Amino acid sequence: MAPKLRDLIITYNNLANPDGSALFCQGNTIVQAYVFGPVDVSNSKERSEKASLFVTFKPKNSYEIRKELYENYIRTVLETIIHLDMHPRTSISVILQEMQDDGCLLSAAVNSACCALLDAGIPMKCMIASVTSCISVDAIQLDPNKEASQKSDGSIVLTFESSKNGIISVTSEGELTFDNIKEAIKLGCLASKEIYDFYHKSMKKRFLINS
Amino acid sequence: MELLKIHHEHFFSKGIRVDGRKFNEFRDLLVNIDSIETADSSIVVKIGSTTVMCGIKVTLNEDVKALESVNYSDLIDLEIALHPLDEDKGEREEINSLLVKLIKGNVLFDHKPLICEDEDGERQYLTLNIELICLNNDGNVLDAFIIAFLGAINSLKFPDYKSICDENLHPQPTSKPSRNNAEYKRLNVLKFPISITAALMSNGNVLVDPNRDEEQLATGLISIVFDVATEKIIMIEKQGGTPMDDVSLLKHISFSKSMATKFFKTMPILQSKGEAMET
Amino acid sequence: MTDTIVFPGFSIKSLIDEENEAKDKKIVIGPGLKRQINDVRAIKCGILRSRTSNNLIVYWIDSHQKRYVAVRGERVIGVVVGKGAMSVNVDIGTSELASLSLLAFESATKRNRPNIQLGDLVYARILSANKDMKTELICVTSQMKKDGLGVLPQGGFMISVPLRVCRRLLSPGCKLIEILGSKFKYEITVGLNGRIWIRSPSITETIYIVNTFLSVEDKDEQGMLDLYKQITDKFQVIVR
Repeated sequence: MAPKLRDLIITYNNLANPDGSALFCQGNTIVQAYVFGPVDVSNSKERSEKASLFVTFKPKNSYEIRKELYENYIRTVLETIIHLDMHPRTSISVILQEMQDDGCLLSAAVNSACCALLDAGIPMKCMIASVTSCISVDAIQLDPNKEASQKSDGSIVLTFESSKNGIISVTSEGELTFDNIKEAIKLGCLASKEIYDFYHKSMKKRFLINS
Repeated sequence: MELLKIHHEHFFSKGIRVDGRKFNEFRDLLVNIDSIETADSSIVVKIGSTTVMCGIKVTLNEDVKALESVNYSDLIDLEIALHPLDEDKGEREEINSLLVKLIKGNVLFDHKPLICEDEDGERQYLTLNIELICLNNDGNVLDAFIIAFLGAINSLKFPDYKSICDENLHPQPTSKPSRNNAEYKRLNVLKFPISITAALMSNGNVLVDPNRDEEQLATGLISIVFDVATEKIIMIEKQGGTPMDDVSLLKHISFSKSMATKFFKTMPILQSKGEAMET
Repeated sequence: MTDTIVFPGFSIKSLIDEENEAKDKKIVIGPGLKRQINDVRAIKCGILRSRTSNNLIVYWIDSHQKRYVAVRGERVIGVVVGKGAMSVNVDIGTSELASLSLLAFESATKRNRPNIQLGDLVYARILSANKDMKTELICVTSQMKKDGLGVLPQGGFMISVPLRVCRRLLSPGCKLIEILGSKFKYEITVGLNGRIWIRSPSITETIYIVNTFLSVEDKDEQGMLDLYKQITDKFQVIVR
C-alpha cells in the first residue's frame, strides 16, 4: 500500500472579486476556496487583539454532510497557522464551496483553504497539508474515493504543518485500532511531503510567469 | 488571564498541577443512579466538581412511521443542555456536535427492542429521549457526558409498548409504581465508549482531565473515545491547538487506552449486566 | 538564495548569516518577513529579494496581493467618503477608513479650508500606519509643499489593479508610462494601494490607456517588451 495520492491540480486567482482564491482538485474531488481579508468587521464581532476568522463551508447537499463539524475543523486549523495578531479588529473570511465530491472532501477543503490564503497574502506561520485514510478489514488506503470510503469501517483525517511536521488536527469516524492510527500517521507524513512539493511547484509556475 | 497563566506555569515547572494532580491523573469520580423517578433511567456523574446529569425517557414515536426505513439514529432524540452563561456559543456547539456525532453516528446499542408489533400487526416505534444536562462546568464536560450516557443506557429498564400506550391514555401522577417489574426490557449495549480528554498547553504539556481554568489556558483539546469491549478507537478529535509530533500523539493514545480500560474496570455500573465482561 | 520562491515558515536566518559573515552590516527586515525570537521567517509566499546599500542590507518578499495594508510613507489614492469638522474620512482600500486632516494641505488655515466634497479623489501620503490605530494621511510633504499631492482634478478615471502592477509601473526599469506618453497626451497618478488615476482629452484614448495598464497584470518581461513594441508601432504621434 504505497502512499499514492490522486492527481493534484490547482488554479490560483480564478475569481476576480475576492482577495485570494484557489480551485483545488484532488482526483475528482474539487473545492473552490476564496478569501476576503483583512476587512472591516462590525463592533459585535471584532476582537481587540486579533483578527476574527470566519469559515463557511458550502456543501452541495446540506443534509448529507455535517456542515458545522467541517467548519469547526477547518477554522481551528486555520486559527493555529494564521498570524491573527497582525491585523487586530479586522475579519478574515474563508469560504469553501464544494464543486464535486469523490471522497476526502474535508482534506481537499483544508488544502484549498491553505492555497487561497497563500494567494491572498495573509500572513501565515507555516503551510498545512491534510490527508484522509480509510480502513477496511485491516487494510489501510490513503486518499480513498467516495466508493472506497463508504465501504470502509473507519476513516481518519490528519492535518500536518510544514515547520516541524507536527499534527495540528485529527478527526475520525467509525472504528479504528491503535495500529491503524499508527499506520495512518506514517502514510500521512509521507503524503504531506508530496503535497508541500506540489504547492511549491504550482507557486513557482505562477511566479515565473508574472515576475 | 496573564496572572492565571503565570500562576499555573509556576506549578507546571515542578511537574504538578494547581490542584496537586500529576499531568496524567484523573479527578475522583462519583456516580449516583436513579435519582429521578419520572425518568426511565437517570444518572448523575461528578468528575471533581464537574457535574452532569443524564436522563432517559422512553416514549412512543408517531412521526417515525412516516419514514420508509427506520434506522438506529431515528430512534434517538438527543438534547444537550450546557448553561449558556458558562461557556461561549462556539464551545457549546463544539461539544454538541461531537456528542451527536458519537451517539448518533455509531451504533452503540441494539435498537431492535424499541421496535414492536402491536395487536393489529402494525409496527410501533419507541424513542429514547435522552437529555444530557451540565449542572456545573469545571472542565472536561465531554468525558462526564459520555460516562453519564453509558451509565444511563446500561441501567435503562423500560416496559413494553402496551404499558407505555396505556400510560399515555391514562396519565398517572407518578408513573413508576404502576409498572410491573417483570415486564421490563433492557437494551443490549454493543459498544462501551469511554472518553479521555486532555488539554494541550502552549509549552507542550499534555494535561489529562483539565479543569475549567486549564481548559481556558489551553491552546486546544484532544479527546479520544475508546470502545473498551473491543479496544478500538471510536472517535479521536484534536481541533487545532499546539501541533503534536507523531511520537507524542501515539504515546498519548496508548496511555489513554490503558487509562480508559482501568477506568472501566473500576465502574461496575458501566459494565453490562447478565454476561460477565472479560476486561 | 535571493530571487527564489519562499513559503510561510521558511527560515532565512542561514541566508542572512552567510551573507553577512565578513561584512558586518545592518540588516533591515522588510515586508513579508517576521522576526521571531532567534530566527527570521517568511510569513508570505513570494520571491525573496535583497538590496545592499552603503551599510545596510534590506530583505523583503515580493508577493502577489490584491488587498492593501497601510504602510507609513507610501503615497496612495483615496476616495472621500465622510466629512467631519476638521477632517475627512478617506477610503484607501484597507480594512478601516483613514483620516485626513483638513489642515494638512498647502497653505491651509482654520479659516481657509480646502474645497473637498464627498466622492472626490485625493492623492495623499500616509503619515502614520499602525495596526492598532486609525491610519492618518496628509497632503503635503515634510517641507509643507504640495508636490502633486491633494485633490485630483475632475474628469479623470480611476482603476483598481493588484499591488504588484503599481510597484512595477513605478520601478525604474519599466518604461511603459514614458512610451505611452510619447504617443498620447495624458495625466497619470499611481497610488501604491493598487489604484491608478488617468486623465486624457478623449474617451477612446482613456479607454486604450486604461486597458493597457490592466493588461500589465499578466505579462512577464518578454510580454512587456512586446507591449512597448506594439504601442510604438501602432500609433503615430498625434499632432495638435
